[in-house]
Amino acid sequence: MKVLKHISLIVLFLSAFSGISQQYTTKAYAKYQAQEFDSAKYWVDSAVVSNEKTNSQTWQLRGLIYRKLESPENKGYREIAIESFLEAQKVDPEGNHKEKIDGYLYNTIIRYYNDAVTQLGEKDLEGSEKSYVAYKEMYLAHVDGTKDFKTNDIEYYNALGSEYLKLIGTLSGEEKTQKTAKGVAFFEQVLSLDPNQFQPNFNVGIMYYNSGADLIMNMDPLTPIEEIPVIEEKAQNNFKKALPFLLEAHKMQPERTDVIEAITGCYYGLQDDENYTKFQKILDEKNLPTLLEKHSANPKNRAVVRELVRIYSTTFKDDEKYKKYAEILDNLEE
Amino acid sequence: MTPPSVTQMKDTRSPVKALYLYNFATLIDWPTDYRKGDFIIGVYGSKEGVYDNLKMKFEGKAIGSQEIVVKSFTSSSQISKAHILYVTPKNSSQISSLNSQFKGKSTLLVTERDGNLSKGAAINFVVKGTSQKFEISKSNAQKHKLVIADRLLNLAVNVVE
Repeated sequence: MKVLKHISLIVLFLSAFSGISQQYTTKAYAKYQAQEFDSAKYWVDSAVVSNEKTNSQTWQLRGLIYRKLESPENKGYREIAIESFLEAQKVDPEGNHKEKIDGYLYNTIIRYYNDAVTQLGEKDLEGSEKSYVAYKEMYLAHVDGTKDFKTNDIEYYNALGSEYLKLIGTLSGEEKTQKTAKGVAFFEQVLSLDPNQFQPNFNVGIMYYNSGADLIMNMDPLTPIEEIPVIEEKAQNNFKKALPFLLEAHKMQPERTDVIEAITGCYYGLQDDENYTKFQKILDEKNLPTLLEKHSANPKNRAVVRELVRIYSTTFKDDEKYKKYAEILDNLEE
Repeated sequence: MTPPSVTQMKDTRSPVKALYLYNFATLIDWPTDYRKGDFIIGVYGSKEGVYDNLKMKFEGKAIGSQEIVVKSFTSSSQISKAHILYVTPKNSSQISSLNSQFKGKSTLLVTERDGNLSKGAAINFVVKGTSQKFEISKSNAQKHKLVIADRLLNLAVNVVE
């Protein structure tokens, strides 16, 4: 995702603030130009409670000053800036400053989007989501009520879901379950906008598959025997949920071996040998040449030899080759 | 946007079987002369899957006062003593000869092939629907002086007296 940093142009006030009737605004503007923003804030806040409050430029200046003063400690200043620009619109019924104020509003509201992108990079995923939602709400309310966010939503929620997918790889237990559900929800949101997206289909499938597999792989060794079928059933429910997404992804990109691998894993976990064998064969056909190459390059790679043993004893039954690699495996393990 | 990393397909059947095997060890009584020394769980067949899971998760744990030792055998002639012998599907067709080999010994023969209870296995893994289950032959267990707890019998999908 491109980080679009919209830097507001500091628009010079063409009209000078002169005359006694604009004295606070004039002082505030002078301080603003001198980059003494705290002092500028003091004068502009005085202006908006004086008879200068009907001047659109006073409110515009207030918005600019508050926007300049916005910082992590003063996050509320952005809202004050937006309120000020809105007030500037209100006291300008003729629309003399419309273009300028619209620009100020856009450049301020886009900051929520920039925050969302930055927070995504900093792995503050909940913060990022809030910023993105705020950006959309503000944009629709104050910039363009007709804007269609479909493309933005697809891009953003795909990115957010992917961050959740990365995050859950580092978690365990209940926290992992919760974050997986969130990640899945974001990808499903993308799919509700465009069901023909490969990545979210694949990612949802992978998240469900991994959740199911984790339940089995992380079973407590002291699990009572009565609990085993319960865990098995929970895992299989996840495999069942994963399959429609993975099969959809497979339809879109049939050459992707990682998709085939996940589908194979689901059928394997569901004890569906007919489909498991079908997909395992596709996978083995694709992987065998690479495995043989890897074995030639490093004959001591145990994982590779194991795969060759499995392939020659199941998918492509060949007793001679099976014995050869089984013997190699045995020697490697002694 | 970086594509997320994909977890490799996992062998989700073997941990279930390994956990069942461990539970078999806790729910079966062996005769007195088998209650000293190490508690040996043997795997006859390829050194992967169930063997790996047993080795990784259960070796060193205790059955009573006995420490679990997991052994792998690629030939039946290598097997001398074992409390439990899990025979992989590929070798499960050898059940009759294994039954003869272990005649008079208190080895629990666990296989994974339809019809093996009638050929001497005490426990046979089967799949019912989508679930991993097991069936038990009480008489085959008794021939090896093994007493199976009711708790285990109650969970079997089929018990042959």
